[in-house]
Amino acid sequence: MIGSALIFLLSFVNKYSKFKFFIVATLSLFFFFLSFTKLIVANVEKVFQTGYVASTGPLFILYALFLSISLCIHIVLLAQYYKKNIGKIRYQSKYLLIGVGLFGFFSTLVSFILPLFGNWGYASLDSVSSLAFVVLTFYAITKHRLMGIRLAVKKFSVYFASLIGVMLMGFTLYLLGNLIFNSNIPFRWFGPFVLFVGVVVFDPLKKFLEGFASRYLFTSLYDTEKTIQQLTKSLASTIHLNEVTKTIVGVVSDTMKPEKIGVMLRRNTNESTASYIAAHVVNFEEKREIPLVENTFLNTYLQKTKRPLVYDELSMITGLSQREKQQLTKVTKEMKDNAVAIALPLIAKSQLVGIILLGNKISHDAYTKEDFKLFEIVSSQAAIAIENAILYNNMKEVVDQQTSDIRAKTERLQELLKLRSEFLDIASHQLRTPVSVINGTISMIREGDIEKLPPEQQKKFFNNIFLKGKKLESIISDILAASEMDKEFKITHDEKIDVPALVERVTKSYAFDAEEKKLQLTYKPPPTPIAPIPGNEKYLEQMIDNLLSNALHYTEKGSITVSLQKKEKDCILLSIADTGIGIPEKDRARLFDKFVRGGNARNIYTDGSGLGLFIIKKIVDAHPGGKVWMESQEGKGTTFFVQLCQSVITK
Amino acid sequence: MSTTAPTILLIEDDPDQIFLYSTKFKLEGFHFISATTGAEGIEKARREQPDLILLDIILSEENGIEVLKQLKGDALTAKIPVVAFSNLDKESTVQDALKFGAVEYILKTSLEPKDLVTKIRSLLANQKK
Repeated sequence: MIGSALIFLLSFVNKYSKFKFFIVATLSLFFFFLSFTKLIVANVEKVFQTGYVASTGPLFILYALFLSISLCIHIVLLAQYYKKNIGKIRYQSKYLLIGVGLFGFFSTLVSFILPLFGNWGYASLDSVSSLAFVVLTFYAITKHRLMGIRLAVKKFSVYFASLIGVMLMGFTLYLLGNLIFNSNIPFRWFGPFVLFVGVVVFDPLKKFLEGFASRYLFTSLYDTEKTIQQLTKSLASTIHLNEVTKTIVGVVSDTMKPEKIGVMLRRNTNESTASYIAAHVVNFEEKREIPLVENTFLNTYLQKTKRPLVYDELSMITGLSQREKQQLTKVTKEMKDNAVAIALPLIAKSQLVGIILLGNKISHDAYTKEDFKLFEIVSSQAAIAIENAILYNNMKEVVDQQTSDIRAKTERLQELLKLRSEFLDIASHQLRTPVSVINGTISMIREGDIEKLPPEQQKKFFNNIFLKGKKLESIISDILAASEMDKEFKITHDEKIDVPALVERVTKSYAFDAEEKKLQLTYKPPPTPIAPIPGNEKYLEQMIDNLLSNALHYTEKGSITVSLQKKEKDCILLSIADTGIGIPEKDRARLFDKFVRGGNARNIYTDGSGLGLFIIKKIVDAHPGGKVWMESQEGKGTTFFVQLCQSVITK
Repeated sequence: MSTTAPTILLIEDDPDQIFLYSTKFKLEGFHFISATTGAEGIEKARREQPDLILLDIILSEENGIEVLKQLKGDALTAKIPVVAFSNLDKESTVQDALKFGAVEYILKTSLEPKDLVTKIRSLLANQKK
């Protein structure tokens, strides 16, 4: 008996080998046969009716030694195993250790030590103490899923206990009967009576024991159906991802009471390398779990089998490639380090969308078959809910995005509409002004008013018609240019422009206007010669002209200085500095838009198109490396800078 | 200065227009004065007490509506009728001008100089009644 126990134990602690089996079996058989001889137990005497007395034989010591050594090996093996392992196995080892220890201590005491002193009186307790071993092994099985037969064991134990109970009752009755009537009642009389009592008592006894077992031995058992109903109901009532994960964590926590639980969601269901985020974790450090759930073996396994991965069953996975084995070792280590007992897949549309990590139960009970049944349902139900929630989230994101896009577009459209109506108001004012002068003048000519005037006034009238006609033309061309530049504006710039010469020419053309306003207009040529720049002369001239015209218009006194200098990377810098009213800071950013003026330019440029800077920017931007910007100080003046380059600057 | 010749003040920043209208009004026997900025216009209105003010709304230095408010807010000039005279055909500006006391809003291109003179005469006649 002790030999087979040793073999069981060796296989339990994974140290089983054929060689060990051979030695143990041989020794056991040797003593087994020896026990039939008088070498160990010399003589057995029957005392009274209930007990036996044996006397020691010559090889008794040897036998006792073998048994004691075997027991010691048991205890050492188990103690080692207990120390080495965690979780379920640790608890299983613990109970086996206690069982073997009790059995060893008592049987050694009553069967070997006391007999050595000639006391055989308690030897019959030997078999009782071996019961401790059996009972505790059973307990380990039932409480800690040793060998995964918890439920079968539960049923078996109940039946077995009921049977024993009935038999004990019968035996007691038999003994009582003998005592009371002080005589031997023939068993053939008594048998049917015991059988009758047994039949009547068996069922109530079984029920009682079942209740007892459920209450004290299988406390973690719960109503699976009720739990599933609760889960389904809660999951159906929400679409928010964090609510869904919270519900799952809540239900699993309430029913199984794990030490830790974490719901990890896969971010990229389509890509081969999985990436996860921790959606809801209790007692887990999310940072530490991420590498575990992102392990390729774990993902492949869960995706393929769609079944939970149980830490205690990792060693049973076979048929792996070298790479997979490495990954498995990693998973095993990480699960052990983080005390993860189970990795539960969440499968939606046959895709792995998440993993639930579970620690051991707080009660140290093992996960039962029923737990796994619940897992299966959680897997599918939760996965669907999570999938829906993710879809909802994505949808919501898309809708939110689109809503804000639409809002932005609407705002932009409204702004454009406002700009357009402003454009029409202003453009029509700008166009009407010269027209009103031309019409008024012609009307006076037709009525003969002009003839009443002195000749030089007459001349001024005719001159005005001409000037206003020219102004009208320039306003029209500005408006046309601006609307043309509204779209993507491209100009040919294959000419080589002598920029200093161009700038000097345009500056000189304003000499008369500057003199009229008593402004000092200066052109500063570049200190070093500047090579011709690729560009479009017509547009560049327009640009410089617009800048100078602006400077002149907004400067009442002081000076305007135009200068050119060479910049790094084959670029040149044109600056036009005035001492005018300056531009308020808040208006600077939008100043290059159409019809935008500085807030202190009180009103629209009464004699211009309001499109000058817009056109300037468009022209400069259409040149290689072209850039225009400004520096300004309200009340002190503004400097516009234009950069032009030999080629496009790549930064 | 004849007592029968009414005085017209034109507040307008474009010298070409001042030249045009001053010529016409003078030919029609008006006493015509002008100002190129709002500030100058207000100053002249207080000093000269014209019979009517023609006020351009788009001035290079100020907003004509602001000038109108000042004219109407000043006891010395509040009673002088002001005609808003502009090429800006913007409904909100027209409404503002009338709200702040302009007797009329005249679009420059809508009237030839002789029609403008006729219009001003009838306005002045109405004022006298």
